[in-house]
Amino acid sequence: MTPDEMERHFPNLASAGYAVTSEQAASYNCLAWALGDTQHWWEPINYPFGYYWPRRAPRDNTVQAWTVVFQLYGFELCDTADLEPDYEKVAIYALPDGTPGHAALQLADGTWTSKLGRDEDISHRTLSALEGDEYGTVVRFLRRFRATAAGPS
Amino acid sequence: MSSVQRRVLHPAYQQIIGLGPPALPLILRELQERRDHWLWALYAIAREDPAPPDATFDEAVDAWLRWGRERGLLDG
Repeated sequence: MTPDEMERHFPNLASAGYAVTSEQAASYNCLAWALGDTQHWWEPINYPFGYYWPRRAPRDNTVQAWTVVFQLYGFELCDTADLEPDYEKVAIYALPDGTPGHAALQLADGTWTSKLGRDEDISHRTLSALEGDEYGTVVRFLRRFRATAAGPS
Repeated sequence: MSSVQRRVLHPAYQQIIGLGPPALPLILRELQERRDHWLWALYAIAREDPAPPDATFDEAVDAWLRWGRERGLLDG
């Protein structure tokens, strides 16, 4: 996606401030990226093969199922996106129909990193940078202690 | 668009599936040029899946490209 396309998809992005941090890759998505995985596209699809979903998570594309996925990897629900140095945080976005639109991971400096669908990774200064028609609005925060942070096995 | 499930429900994606087997060489060529989410269309048209159940996305793409070459649907 060119910067122009990116800013058209996400009208708040340019004013919030962002940087493209990777090449385009269709092999992983935002949920994978938030959990440190760049090998799998995490989505509850049974067929065709080529998509990953944890066996112990509900096989639904819902905010609750995404929450369970994060909980399986040590995250717990929390109230805010405020930076807490001992924790890494994720934010889940949802569309008006309640389906999850996106997940973003907070970096140690308080900014956020996101994989934009099948396109690039970006860093963005605020969560509102990606809010809008494409991903919806932030509806949930989770955190895990940094010392226990571990990617999927 | 983050979700593959949303993407495949798009009318344009459904129209491509509706073209049936004649679309396979075009989809495979597109997949060869740019690894994108054509697995669903290929599976829907071919009614088989050459990828192993635990394949990563890239492994599944490789399996489909091999499948296409073996059937003469894709050059090189």
